[in-house]
Amino acid sequence: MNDVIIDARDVCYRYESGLSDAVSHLSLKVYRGEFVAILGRNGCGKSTLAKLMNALLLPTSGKITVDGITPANEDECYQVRRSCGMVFQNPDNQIVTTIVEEDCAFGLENLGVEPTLIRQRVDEALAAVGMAQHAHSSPAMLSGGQKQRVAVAGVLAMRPKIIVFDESTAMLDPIGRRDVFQLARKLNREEGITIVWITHFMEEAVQADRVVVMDRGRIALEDTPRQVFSQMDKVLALGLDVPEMMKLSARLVAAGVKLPQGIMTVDEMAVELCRLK
Amino acid sequence: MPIEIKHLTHVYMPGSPFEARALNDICLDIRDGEFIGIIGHTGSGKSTLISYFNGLERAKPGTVFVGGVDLGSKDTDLIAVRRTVGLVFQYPEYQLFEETVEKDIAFGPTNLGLPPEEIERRVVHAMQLVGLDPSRAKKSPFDLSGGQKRRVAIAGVLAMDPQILVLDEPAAGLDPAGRHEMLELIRDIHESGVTIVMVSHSMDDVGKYCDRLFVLSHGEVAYQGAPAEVFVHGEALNAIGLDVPECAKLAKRLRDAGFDIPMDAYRLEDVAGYIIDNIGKGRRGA
Repeated sequence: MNDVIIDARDVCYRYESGLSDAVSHLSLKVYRGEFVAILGRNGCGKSTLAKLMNALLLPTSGKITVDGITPANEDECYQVRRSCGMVFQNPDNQIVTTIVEEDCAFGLENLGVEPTLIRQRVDEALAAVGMAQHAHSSPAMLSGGQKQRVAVAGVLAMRPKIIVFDESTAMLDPIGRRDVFQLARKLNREEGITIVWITHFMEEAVQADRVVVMDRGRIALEDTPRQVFSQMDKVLALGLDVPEMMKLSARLVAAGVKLPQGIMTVDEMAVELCRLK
Repeated sequence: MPIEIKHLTHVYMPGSPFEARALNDICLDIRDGEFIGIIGHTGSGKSTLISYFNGLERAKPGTVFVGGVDLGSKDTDLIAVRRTVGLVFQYPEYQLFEETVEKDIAFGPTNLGLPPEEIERRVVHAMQLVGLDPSRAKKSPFDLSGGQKRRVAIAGVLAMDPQILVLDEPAAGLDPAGRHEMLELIRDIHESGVTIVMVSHSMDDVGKYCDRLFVLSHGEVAYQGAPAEVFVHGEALNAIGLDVPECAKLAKRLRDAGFDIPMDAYRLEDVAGYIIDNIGKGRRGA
């Protein structure tokens, strides 16, 4: 299959101090250009999977192939990291310089890219995340959402094919959260970058192409958001939440209101109810 | 032990190019036994405001009274105030430092110079309040999960026996189940007789748990009142970067489409009830 960009086959990962596998016999395919959300309670192995995707960790057993490379040695790990960028939860932990554009250039400088090309890529990346006017600012003067956008720009400047966002909106306020999420969607649609979006926010997950729910290192559910969230009891039992409209829908259906399955948004609910009145 | 704030203004880095007015002529009061929500986007002044509640900052323009005591006065014993008003910062688990859970919780009361048996009693009580199993007392706090660590940090503040507990984003970063547990825990603490002030980004959470809300925007109180009174301003809240609960949004859409749903309905149970009434009526009319 040509369009599989991440292919995990029976992957296990156990930390040195771990009593059990953090990721356990997990198989997952991510397709080129897809926007996949990964959900699951704290400690279910989401972040470990993310680190396996960009070769920060290598499987204890099983195989993971990223953009055609199955990393085994250091060289291959670097190649994987170039095609698969990562944005973490805490913006303050991933900003290393005192000027926004220098931070953005950090990765390219380390690769020994030619300065004029660095200039061009950094300008493009900062423009793409809407931070061009802050190029000369200190990251310390930015809001959390703006810092995350700078972190995304730093990853973008490396021209990755995939970006893994590991709870990148967890520490942001609603505006910052929306901005960073919309940015990921834009990169997905307009630049064709494959996005793996790890989150605790169901309202983000409902907008993904596909939802993968993890539990104790394995995949518990995997389908379109509508199909996944329709299994309300299962989803709740996995320590997650379902969209508010799905809960309302269940309540109304129980009271005899004839609603179709899988209503997730206020718009859908309003349309259906107006039809019934 | 009420909190009364009058005409409070706070300016960061005055006289520098980065001068910023974080709070502007804030007036608010918090009564005994309330569960208050403070809401606002980043930079709206929430965290600055709560640092005045226990005298971490001294009001220059304006006054802050806690239990009738003026925190701005030089004669005020701020140590006593900080015993009364417990502050739990964002991500408080990063402040844990002791070898064991019980030592960490005992740190505050030990510094108060309390007798050992009183310290012991407080540690046990605080652990119980936050739902930590006694078997964890001798464990290292660093071996616990994130949610459990946060409970230890909150227990450390509760061990000071505060009458008012102020929490800055207590559910941030937790998964949905952990979030729910944390909020239920705060409700239990409230029911044990502690006044709660909770800073939050989530309208859903404050709508579910709080008696009264203060919405901050650009350092000012933009809206205040019971959640239902605040959520009526849906569009204005959107304009300042906040959202109303989904059911409040739906209720408005349906009202606009001719459904008979009161302006103050925002809870799922209530909105569901009104929808069923409306649809029933439609059928009978048909």
